[in-house]
Amino acid sequence: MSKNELLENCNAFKYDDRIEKAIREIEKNLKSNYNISKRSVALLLLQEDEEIKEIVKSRESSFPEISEIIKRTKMLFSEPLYYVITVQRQKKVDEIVSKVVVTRRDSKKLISNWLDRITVQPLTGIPILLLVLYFGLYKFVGEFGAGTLVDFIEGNIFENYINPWVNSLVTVYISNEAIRELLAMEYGIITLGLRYALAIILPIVGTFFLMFSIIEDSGYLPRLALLVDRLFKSIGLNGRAVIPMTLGFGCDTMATLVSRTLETRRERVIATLLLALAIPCSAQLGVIMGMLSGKPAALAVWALFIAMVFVLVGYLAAQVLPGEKPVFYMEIPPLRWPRIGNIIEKTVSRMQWYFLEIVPVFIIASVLIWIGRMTGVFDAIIRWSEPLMMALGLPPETAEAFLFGFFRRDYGAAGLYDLQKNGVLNGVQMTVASVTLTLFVPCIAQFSVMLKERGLKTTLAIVAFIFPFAFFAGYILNLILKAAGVAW
Amino acid sequence: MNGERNLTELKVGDDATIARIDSADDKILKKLMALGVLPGMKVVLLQKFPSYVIKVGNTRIAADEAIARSIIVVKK
Repeated sequence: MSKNELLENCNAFKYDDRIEKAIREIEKNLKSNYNISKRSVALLLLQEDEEIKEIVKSRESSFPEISEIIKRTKMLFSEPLYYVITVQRQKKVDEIVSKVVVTRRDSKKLISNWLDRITVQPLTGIPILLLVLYFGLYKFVGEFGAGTLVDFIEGNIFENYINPWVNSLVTVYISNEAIRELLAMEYGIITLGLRYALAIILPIVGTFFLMFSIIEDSGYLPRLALLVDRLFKSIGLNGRAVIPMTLGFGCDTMATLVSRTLETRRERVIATLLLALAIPCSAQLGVIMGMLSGKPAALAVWALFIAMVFVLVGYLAAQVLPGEKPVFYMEIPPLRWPRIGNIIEKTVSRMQWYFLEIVPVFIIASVLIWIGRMTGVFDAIIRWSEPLMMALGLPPETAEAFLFGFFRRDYGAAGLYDLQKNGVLNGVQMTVASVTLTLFVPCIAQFSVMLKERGLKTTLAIVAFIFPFAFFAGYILNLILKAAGVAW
Repeated sequence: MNGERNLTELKVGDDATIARIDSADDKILKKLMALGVLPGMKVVLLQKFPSYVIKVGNTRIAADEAIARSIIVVKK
């Protein structure tokens, strides 16, 4: 068929008579200029496009007549008009495509077809998923980012050069003890706030975002989503939620923000709750793994217990929260080699966002820690919470770790790490403390994003649940381990 | 109608033609249409577990059971 013939045929396209009649009648009622043809406006109106409806409503005095035409046309069909119109249009598209497109089998596609298949079938897909998590998250982000890079930047650059230099500067130039503590020393804005941002957050979050961008760009994420959809349905989420949930292992704050992409409010609330409760962020994970790695059994108990809490609380939340059940559908793109340009762009823009949004919160956290210490409020809180620690079978010193855990998630874990090194905590206590700390309140940055995204009422409700629940879970775990006669 | 069944009643590897979308939920209907799941399109069922995977035209789509049930097909 020649090009002209084809064009003629395309132009001849008409919807069925009932639709065409409605289009003509609406066109007659459209007096103002819309930048697109009146026919297009009429079609959009028939398909119930909200945006165009508002525009037409504000410009045309004859809008009631137009509404009447649409209403009458709707009555003629049993299906919604947008469906009818799309189906008729698609039919024409198929007709054209079938005349001009030839499909042939391409042998080069065999490998990619094979890869496409083995990543979505459960028997091969789940081992591949575990490999991706192991190498992508554990090896690259956990060991390389949170280990090698953090050790170098924090242990070498900050501890050896920047902190001593800043400390000596303030000692020489600032006479006021309180101001000195605000800027430098153990908890200062520069020596703690900035060090935290540059030496811990930057390498961990940087490696995480890099890995996440690679996985995202390769088209793997939708496969992950379809593999976990059934599991996620039981906790009131759909497979799509795997994206914020995986991000949570990098940074729960960012993940909470990303949970806005979930479709229903019910899903967003469940995701926010689970992120705050049972997904440890990479900073926290790094310290806990370091602390428990010497005792594989303790690490296993910790991981299992947290996973159980995740499933159990998700399941209960799904039963309790009202709202529609989640549905899952997603296009599965073919697997592709990630493009370097895309990866760099995504990683850089995410890190940029991270620094602009989150780092100020860490600076504020430094200031709050400073105020808390200067005014003696922290000492009071620590004293009050000591009996709580005793109930969990933990030494009173752990209270401080829990308090600071709110300001930086990993700081609490780091506090435990110190206690363990000094021999204050035994294996059982370490396990109980790690579990409680993982479940316990989100860090201050996550808390502020929760407020912004979910509102005050929901956030307070979530925190009011998490706080007692974390300690209750620790209490129960302590009883179980004691009853089992575990002595690590 | 004769020969109509929903997607969950097909066997893996079967191909069929989409007859209609039977969903009370407006949002699902619109999303499926946007993905190109439309009457008259050929569909191949690629897998059923853990999620349904179908091929419509050149697009592969994952869907849960509820969505798969709402896609009514006619087998050849």
